[in-house]
Amino acid sequence: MAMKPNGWKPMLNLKDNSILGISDSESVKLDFDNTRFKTVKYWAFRTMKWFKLKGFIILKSSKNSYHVVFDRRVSWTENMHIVAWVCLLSQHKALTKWFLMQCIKEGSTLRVSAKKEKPEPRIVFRYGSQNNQIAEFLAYRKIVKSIIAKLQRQKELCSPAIKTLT
Amino acid sequence: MVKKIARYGTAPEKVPVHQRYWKKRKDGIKQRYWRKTKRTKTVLKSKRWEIHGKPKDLYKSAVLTYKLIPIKDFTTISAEKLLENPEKYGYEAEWVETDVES
Repeated sequence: MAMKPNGWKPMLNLKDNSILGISDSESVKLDFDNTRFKTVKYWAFRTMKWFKLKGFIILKSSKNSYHVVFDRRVSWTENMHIVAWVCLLSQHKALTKWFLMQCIKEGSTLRVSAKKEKPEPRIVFRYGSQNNQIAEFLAYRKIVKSIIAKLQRQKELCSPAIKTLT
Repeated sequence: MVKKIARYGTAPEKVPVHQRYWKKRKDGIKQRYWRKTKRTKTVLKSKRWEIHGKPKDLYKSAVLTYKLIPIKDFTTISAEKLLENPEKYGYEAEWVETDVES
């Protein structure tokens, strides 16, 4: 294969169809689709208080879709225990589906890049401690975002060359 | 466990075509079997990279996986290993635009 890490070919396809996300097992994450912000906030508060998770952030991924990340480091078993508790009490179908998929993968993933017409998730609410898992999550998010920005810049550099060729 | 960068989506993969054939059993019943042929067909499959490592290597591998599809459906690998030997873990193709779940 001609693809080498230190000398990759210029990218001719300007569209990135894959999605970039952050995956781990030690931070509690929730993915609420088709849910109002008020409901998401209620479940984030309730979960944080019940399991003493110290703090949380809410990210808006698209209209009526939110991601929640909690601050306390937990084991994978405890992580799934917490998500299952939320699924059972909230009876949220999309969250339950997401939870089952994370169980299969043995790691929970949240999207960072844009997906089709959906934009990149952005922080809309912060509460409590932000120094442990949230800080780590945001640091990784920064790395992924810089990767996306650099890829975008490369695409923009490639595009005039393609135009002149055609 | 450290945090990992996940690149996921749908990608084309060449799979062998199976051909069916029948064999008559001793009891007279015809039983259907499947044989793997040399012919291949392209199918769309959901694929996933999970990469961990240093930020510099992560960046390089994220750029690399832009057009590199994992051979296995679910590949967890360190960025360093992937950069050393990309053709061992993936093949060159383009990700296809579909609706995928995280």
